[in-house]
Amino acid sequence: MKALDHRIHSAFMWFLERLPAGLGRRVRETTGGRFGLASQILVGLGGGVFLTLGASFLALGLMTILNTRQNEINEHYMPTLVAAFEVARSSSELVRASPRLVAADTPGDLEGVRQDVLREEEILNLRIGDVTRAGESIGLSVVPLAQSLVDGIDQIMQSVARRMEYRTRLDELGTEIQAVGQEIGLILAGELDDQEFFIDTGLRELDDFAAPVSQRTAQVELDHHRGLMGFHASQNIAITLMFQAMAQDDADLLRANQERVYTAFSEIQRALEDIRPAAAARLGPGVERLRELYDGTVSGVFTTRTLELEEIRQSQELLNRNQQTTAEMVAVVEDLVGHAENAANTAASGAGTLLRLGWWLILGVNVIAVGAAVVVGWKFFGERLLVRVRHLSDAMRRMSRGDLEVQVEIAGNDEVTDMAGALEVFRQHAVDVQRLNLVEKLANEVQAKNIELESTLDDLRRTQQQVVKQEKLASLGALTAGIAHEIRNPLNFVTNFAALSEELIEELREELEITNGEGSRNGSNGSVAGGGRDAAEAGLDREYIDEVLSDLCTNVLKVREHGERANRIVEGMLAHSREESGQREPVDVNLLLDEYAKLAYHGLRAADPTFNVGIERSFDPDAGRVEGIARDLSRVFLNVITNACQATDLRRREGGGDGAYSPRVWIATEDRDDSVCVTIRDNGTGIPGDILEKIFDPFFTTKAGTQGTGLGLSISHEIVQEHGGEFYVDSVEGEFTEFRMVLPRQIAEGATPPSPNPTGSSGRFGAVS
Amino acid sequence: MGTEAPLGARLKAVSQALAVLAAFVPGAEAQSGSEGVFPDSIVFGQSAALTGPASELGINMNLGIRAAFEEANRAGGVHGRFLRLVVRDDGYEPEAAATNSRELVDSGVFGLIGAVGTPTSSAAEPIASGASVPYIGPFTGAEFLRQDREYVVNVRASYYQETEEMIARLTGDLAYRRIAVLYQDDSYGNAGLSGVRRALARRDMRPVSTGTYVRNTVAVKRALLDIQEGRPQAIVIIGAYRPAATFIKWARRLGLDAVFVNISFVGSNALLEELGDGGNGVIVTQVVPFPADASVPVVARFHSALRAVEPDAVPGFVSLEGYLAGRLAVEALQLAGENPTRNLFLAALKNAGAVNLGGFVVRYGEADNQGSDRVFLTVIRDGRFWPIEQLSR
Repeated sequence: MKALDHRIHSAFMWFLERLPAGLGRRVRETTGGRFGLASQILVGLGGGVFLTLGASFLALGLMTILNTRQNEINEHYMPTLVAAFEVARSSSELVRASPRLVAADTPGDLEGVRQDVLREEEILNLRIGDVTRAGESIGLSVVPLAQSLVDGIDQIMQSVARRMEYRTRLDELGTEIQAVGQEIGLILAGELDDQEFFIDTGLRELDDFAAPVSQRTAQVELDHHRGLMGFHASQNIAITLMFQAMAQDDADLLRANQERVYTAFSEIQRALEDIRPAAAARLGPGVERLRELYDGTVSGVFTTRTLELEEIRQSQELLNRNQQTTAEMVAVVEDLVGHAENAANTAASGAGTLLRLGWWLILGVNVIAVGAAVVVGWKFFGERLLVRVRHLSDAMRRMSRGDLEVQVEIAGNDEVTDMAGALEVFRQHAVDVQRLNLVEKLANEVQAKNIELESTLDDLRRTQQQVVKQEKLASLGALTAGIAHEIRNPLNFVTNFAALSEELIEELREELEITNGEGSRNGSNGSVAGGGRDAAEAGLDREYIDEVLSDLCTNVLKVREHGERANRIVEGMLAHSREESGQREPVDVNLLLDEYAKLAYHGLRAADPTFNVGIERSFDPDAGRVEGIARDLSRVFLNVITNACQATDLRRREGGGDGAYSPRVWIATEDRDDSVCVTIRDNGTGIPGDILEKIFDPFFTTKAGTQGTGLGLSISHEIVQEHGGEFYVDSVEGEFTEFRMVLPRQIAEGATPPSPNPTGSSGRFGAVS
Repeated sequence: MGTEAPLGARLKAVSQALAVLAAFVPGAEAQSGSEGVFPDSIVFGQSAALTGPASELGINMNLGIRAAFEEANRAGGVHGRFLRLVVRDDGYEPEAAATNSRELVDSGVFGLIGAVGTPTSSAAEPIASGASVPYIGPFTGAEFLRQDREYVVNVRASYYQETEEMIARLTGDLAYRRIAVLYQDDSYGNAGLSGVRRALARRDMRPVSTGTYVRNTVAVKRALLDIQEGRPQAIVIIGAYRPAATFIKWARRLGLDAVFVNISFVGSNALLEELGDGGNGVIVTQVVPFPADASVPVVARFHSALRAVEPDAVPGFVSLEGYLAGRLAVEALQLAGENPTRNLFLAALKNAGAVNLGGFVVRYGEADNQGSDRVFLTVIRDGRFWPIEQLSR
């Protein structure tokens, strides 16, 4: 965190240095020349904004590309395609135009088609231009075909227009023929009605008198009647044939029709000659008109129909020709549309790919931007600011609860740092104030507490003494068996030498009595040995007595020696159990170790005959003496060695009948010039790692029931410390335990006083591996 | 990106969709007036003979209809719409009648009204029916217009009813047995002829002689000769007024002593005029009340309506029939409601039951498109018509 802060700050400063002078100064003024909170937030937000802008610019770039492609499609391919479609549509319109023209019924229809054709032709030319501009050279090939088609259409159109004129003319002719026929028919009906009535009744007018029969049946009247009848029939034939001709499709038959109509008109003419002039005059104009309609002028029925048939033939021919052009055109246009469609599809699919790419890119950019925002928010605000601010707030809250021991972390160089610094200053002040308050308060409390404590301390001291005494008694108990064994040896010596001395004295006394008997008879009674011998057998007796006395003397010496030894043992025991502190004196470490090793061994043997252990001593002859209290050190040795022996015994028991295990305890000393190192190692059960640190705690014990007080190692540790020494322990569970004491030759002044609480810290034991 | 249809295919789909849409955009013409009904008016069409031998009929039908329409328009129109009448001359020729009717129907008239004649109606009615346009009050009693013609609205009694009445009177009132027929040589004449034949057949008789003439001519003399051969006591004339008058005059000239009975279509007033002094005793059957009889409410109303249109006009049978047709159209439009359609118009009449036009009651039904069954007898005497209850010598 600090390294990061530092880097960020350095980067900021680097950035500041590189700003233009004026701007740099202003930024420095604004930011206070450091990477402050505002700058951090700005940079954090700026980072987010930068990323967002980056994403936006990327998107913008993509959009521009897309737009370009889209424009390309819109401005190039789409118009081309649309134009191609238009060409196709216009073409098909044109193609359809010819049959439509031919099928047109009225000039109105024709004009409609004509307008369509003109419009489509215009569109076609326009679109062909578009397509050609778009680079579709196929468009060009449509032009001549379209031109040819349009020309064909023009011709058809003209032909159809002419045909329509003819048809219109024919229709007019038909109407007129009918009208004339009707007109003639009405006249004829009246004339016939009148003539027949006259022949029958001799009456012409209502007011007339009836004519005589001769007059009614005169030749002229009969001719008139016949003429009217003939006229009627021929006129009907002529009109019928003329109508037939209008619908005659065969030009050859049309001519035949014409012949027959001609004949009919001849008959009409003949009939007219029979008809009375007045009636003939009434019928004449109608006949003339009918003749004109027949063929009197260029626009008669037959001429017109002939022309119409010719036009129909011509239209059909043109239509056929156009159909050929149409087929070619359709093929070309299909080609064109296919091309345009392919091009447009390719472009569209390209744009689609681009769009998808853009979509993914924008998605990616968004993900990155969001990710960056999250990272910025989390890393910067979360970790850099919020965490620090939270730390600060935690610290403040704790301070507010009165915990002024809080460590205020002062890192970085920004407002938070300022706040932290200020908080630290505040805390210092608060601590001072609190202290002042406390001192006063405590002074009173301490007074009371001191009194309380003193009595507690007294109790404690008494209790402690009690406990220590108990421990001493306990260790004494442990010693007792060993001591008993140790005392038994001198006592045996004493007893044996005393018994030997008794025998020697008895021998001596007998010798003396013998001497006295010989001599008492001399009168001396024993108190002076040898007198008799001296007297009687002086030479031999003296020698013997001297010999016995010398033996006695030796015996007594031995008894004294062993008695002293026993005494010493007892004294040691007493000293061991004595409560007052002993005197510092030079202590022979090797001697003391050896002695207490024996005591420990025998003590344990005495308690359990099956117990056995091989104790190997490796004493440095130069170990010599250290300044110390023998009684205390002996307790340490005894304690540690006993523990070692018990550990091996425990392992032996746990190992069951495993004969491979050989219980061993190694005791070694080493001269280290100004100190002596004592190592006591066993291959017992070892000490589990989790309790290794607790073994020096008072009352900690692994031993069941009354086997231990739990104070042994605690006190031992204390003792070593009182001697200015160091006490190490090292153990591997199931393998070994090694205690090492380094005892200085001279106890330095101010050596560690006994701590009231030896559990304070395990660190004091130094290296524990 | 959605689905990836080829661009071309999408374009095609769009253009097809546009084409389909365009098909549903209503044309501009359809907007201006549906079925001849405009916001302020309703347009009817009439094709009738305004020229030629039957022109009196067309002119008077037109006059009567106009009288009725103007009368309604003066009263504010029908549901606020004024009635307009577009009239075309067909000269009593079927072709012209067909052409006129086609044009009128195509121009979107609400209905065709007051057509004159049977052959003309025979050509025009299918055009109207084919376009679902009502064919109202044709001046004809032809039977075919009364059979399964859902768009035809007849006012008058049929020719069969008229001829039945004639034969009933002739054989009843006068106990005549010898009855001849003069008929025009077309569908009208044949309709009348067949009506007479039926009526006679019902009485176990047949015409003693028949004669025919060409429409629009007065060439009736050969027909007269033919009829004369049968020595008829009475001659039923199914024709137009001019040939009818010619025939009657020539018959009298030849001394044929018979009762001439004309059918309503003859055009009574024109016939009277044509006959001049020689009209005495000529019978005409009528399908409308006597036009001078102002005691009939509708006739009185007709008089004032006619005067409003043409002060000098003399009320006649034809103009009264036209007026009745016009009145019927007005009544039906009233019944059809605020927004009339052709179907509403026809349905209104079918469902209206009896419609009393004022002493002249018409009644339509599901299979009955003829409003009146009444036939009236009139006789010419002293240069004018007289209503009669029965025939007498």
